[in-house]
Amino acid sequence: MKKYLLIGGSIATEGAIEGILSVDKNADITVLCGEKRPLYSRPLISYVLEKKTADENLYFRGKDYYEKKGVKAVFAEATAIDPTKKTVLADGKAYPYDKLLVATGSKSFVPPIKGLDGVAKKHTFYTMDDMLGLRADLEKGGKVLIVGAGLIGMKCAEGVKEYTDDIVVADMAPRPLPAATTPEAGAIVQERLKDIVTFRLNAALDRFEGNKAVFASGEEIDFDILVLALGVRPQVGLLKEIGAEINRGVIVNEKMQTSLADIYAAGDLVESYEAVGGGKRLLQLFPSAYLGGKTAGKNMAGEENAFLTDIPMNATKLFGVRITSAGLFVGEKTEVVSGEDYRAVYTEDGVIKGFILIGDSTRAGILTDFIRRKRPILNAEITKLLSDRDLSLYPEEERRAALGGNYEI
Amino acid sequence: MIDFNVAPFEVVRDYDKCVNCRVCERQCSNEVHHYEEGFGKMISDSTKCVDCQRCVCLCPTKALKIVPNQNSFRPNANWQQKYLTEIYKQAESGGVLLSSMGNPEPFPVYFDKILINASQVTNPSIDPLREPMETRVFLGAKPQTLQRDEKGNIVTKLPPRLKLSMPVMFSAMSYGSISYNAHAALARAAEKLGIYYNTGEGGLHKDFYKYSANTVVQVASGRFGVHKDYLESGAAIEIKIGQGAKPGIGGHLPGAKIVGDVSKTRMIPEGSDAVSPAPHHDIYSIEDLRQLVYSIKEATEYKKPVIVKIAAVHNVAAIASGIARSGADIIAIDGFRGGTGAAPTRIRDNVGIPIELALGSVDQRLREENIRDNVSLVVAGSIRCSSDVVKAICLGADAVYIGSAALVSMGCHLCRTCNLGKCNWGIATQRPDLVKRLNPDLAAERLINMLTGWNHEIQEMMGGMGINSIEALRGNRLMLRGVGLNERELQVLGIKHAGEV
Amino acid sequence: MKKIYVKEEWCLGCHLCEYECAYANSGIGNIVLALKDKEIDPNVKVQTDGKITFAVSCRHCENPLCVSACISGALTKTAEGPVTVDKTKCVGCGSCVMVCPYGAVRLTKEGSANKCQLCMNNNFGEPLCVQKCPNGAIVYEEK
Repeated sequence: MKKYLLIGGSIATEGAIEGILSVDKNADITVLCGEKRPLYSRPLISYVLEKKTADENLYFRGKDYYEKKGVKAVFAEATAIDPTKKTVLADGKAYPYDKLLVATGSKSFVPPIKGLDGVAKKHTFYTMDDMLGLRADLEKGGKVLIVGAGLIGMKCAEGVKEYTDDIVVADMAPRPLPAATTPEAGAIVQERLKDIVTFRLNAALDRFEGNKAVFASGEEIDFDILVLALGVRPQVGLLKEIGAEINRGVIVNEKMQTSLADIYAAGDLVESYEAVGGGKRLLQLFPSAYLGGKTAGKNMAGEENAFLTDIPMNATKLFGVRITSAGLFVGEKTEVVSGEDYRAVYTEDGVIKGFILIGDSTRAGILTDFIRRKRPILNAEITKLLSDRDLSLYPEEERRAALGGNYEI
Repeated sequence: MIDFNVAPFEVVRDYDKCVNCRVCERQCSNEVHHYEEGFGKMISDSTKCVDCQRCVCLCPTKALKIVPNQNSFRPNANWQQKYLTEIYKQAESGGVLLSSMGNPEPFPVYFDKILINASQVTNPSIDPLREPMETRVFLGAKPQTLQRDEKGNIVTKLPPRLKLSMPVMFSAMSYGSISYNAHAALARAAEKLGIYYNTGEGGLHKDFYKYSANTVVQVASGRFGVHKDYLESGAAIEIKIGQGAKPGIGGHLPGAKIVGDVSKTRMIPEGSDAVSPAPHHDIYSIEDLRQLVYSIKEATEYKKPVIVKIAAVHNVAAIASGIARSGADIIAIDGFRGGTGAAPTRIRDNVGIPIELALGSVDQRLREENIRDNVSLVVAGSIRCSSDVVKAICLGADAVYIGSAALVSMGCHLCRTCNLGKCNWGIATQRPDLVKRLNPDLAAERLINMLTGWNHEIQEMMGGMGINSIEALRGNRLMLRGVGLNERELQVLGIKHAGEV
Repeated sequence: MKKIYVKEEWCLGCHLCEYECAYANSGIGNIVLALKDKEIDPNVKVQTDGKITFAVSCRHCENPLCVSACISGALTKTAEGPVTVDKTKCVGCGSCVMVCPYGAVRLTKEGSANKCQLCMNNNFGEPLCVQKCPNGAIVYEEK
């Protein structure tokens, strides 16, 4: 019986389990969980911190997910892969495989900042343990400084807000969410949040002096609790050591195969095919991890499957402001401002490359599908796509087949 | 100008129940309902209402009802409000008053004054759930004698016949007067039930040639849509001389309804009025009729029965006698209550005679002349239920045609405004948005359900009488008794009064 | 599995399905009480391309993107086939709305995801939109 070994234990792993089981119902699957926890949903940590959902809901597929799926879970961190013997070493034990998935994800990036060692209460905000540690400190009270106004920093701020109003969010960038939004949209978000969060933007951190952050401008900010939200880096170490092709992330083909035989990779650590740009890209997104993992799983189990529809996308609600985006913000921009809502689509060569919606996101999936499938658009349709988009935008035959049950979009 | 028109109905809305969903507004082709922003609620313009009940049926909270308008002219037993209203209309328009569906006036309904017999003690009744019960009938001429070979097989050459699973057919309703979907439903139901539907005078849409084994094709005075393939695609061919709703006059489908496929099927240009002459201009005698009957038989190689359909008029028995000698295989007689897509009101309401009386006299006359077996008799003109069918058969019919009942089963509420072409039920209209309201899948199922129910009831009634075949029921007047009928009426019907042995 | 299919050639655009859906999922036993003076937010929406109307609700996909994107486990593809929503788990991130190519998942006023659950979470039996469609334009069948 074929042995499937999965290194990871997060969303790409879950996708792979589903993918393998969809082909091979009684598959022999072992998961090496480096984080030493059952499967949980990382993006939920901010909502738990915010008390919007209960701690136990982090285990979003149930704490017994692996048991339910008949998967062996080993709570140990993999330390080396031996591709010739086809084994993986963890806690000094060798686990054999016929097909291996590396889904080690990414890790919070902590740059060497002068004086960081002297900060007493410092946290990153990426894993469940990060959140639990931060929460323990928050419950004792104190001023909070969050360095990094990206999605992680901002979602963290939203959670922290439940404990204290004394928060400063600092970033080198001129606006919050620099990567996930366009300058226009970012400005709107910043405007909406200005009375909720204290920003220090264009603020390069120079050093820490105890519980004081000193910026390049000379400004100093006192804090009790520090959160470093400066992004994440793919954990490619295991594969690097055995010579897999690696750029910023591990390079995989559309079947999620690495350059090494019988070794697949999926999730935050991979550079995989991205449909809008048409090249390999490090996406590090929840749906990409799941779907990439599923594709890997199917191929590992022997069913040919290609993941060709992955695109950048993000949906979140930040202090009541809903932000939904997908694709790339390139090409010609068409914007609509309507009340509290901001909507923009980016088009190039008669197809939509990207969109960003602030506020109402009704049926945004139709826009996403236009991007994903490179559906041709007519100029007249842009207005409808930006307002009350619906199924009438798809070709009549396709819509009829989809609604009639003969086809799945 | 003074508006003399008084709304005959009043739309009553229970505002406690109305949830402003606006379904009524979207469903009313007469634009009775609309949402009034100013009031923040739905309002209705009763003057436009035709009482088709579409809104009442679709209202999710049952907030609507339509009642007769209580506004009343000064009561007058002679000058009833109806006559005044009609005069106002004509004083305004100068035109002929038009109406649709059958004569609604309070003439006697003889079926309602006839009762059916049942067995007690001396002649046991039959339980149709346990014993065979034959509702199948064959329509056409019956040979005087039958010859068989030594094995018992019939060797006599039988004339062409129609085989019906039960003694009911769908009567002629043209594509044009009713919608494509209504035709589709009738055709499918006829096929499923093992009976026949009738094209009427509108030709046969190419999509429906596949139902030809269950189709009667009609040849009427306008000869619309008649060609060789058309004749050949019918299981029988019906020559229409007259129609119960408008005996003696022709038909007129306005050019506005001659659009698209209706024009193609009728083989006349779009937008041109389809005028059927009052008479067939090649038929002025029984001899002329015989020529047409045989022309058709020639054209179809004597393989198909020919039906001659006439309206029930005063001398119907003599005419039927002539038709029975013309070579026709089936005579269809349409009583004065028969429906129509449009007819002059005065004609519809005042011309013709009741089908019960016409049938009674025709059957007796053909028997007296010993030509009853030359033809089968099919009667029409407001057959409303299975007991009407049984009574008609006892009075001598071989089968009945139903038109209005079929439309009612599909949703028609007899609002009698087919002539306006805005049928909210998608039946008597060619407006595409309205036509699509009649899903033939559902409509065919309703037709099938209704007739399946009728057939059970017919079997129950037959069983009660101790009769197990339509053959034994036909002309069996002993099974009928009249109530409240006078001597003359009983004599014409050929039945005894209730209480007579 | 049995699913809702749309026969758009028979859709009348009457919007009854929307109101019946709102009623069925209101948790209120009386239709008037459920709908009176309320803005409805049904799981089925009648849309039009200008020529024809069609009622759109969740397709219960074989491979539902909404479930793949759901970070909270609120959306689940059950073994029996339907895609269900557990509102108590939903955190309202809107990922499902971002990915559903049918636009069939939405966020309610309260901020959680909602969509058609085939009337499996109420007592109406067969989906009420199907039962009440006057023209057989919405059907519930095995394919």
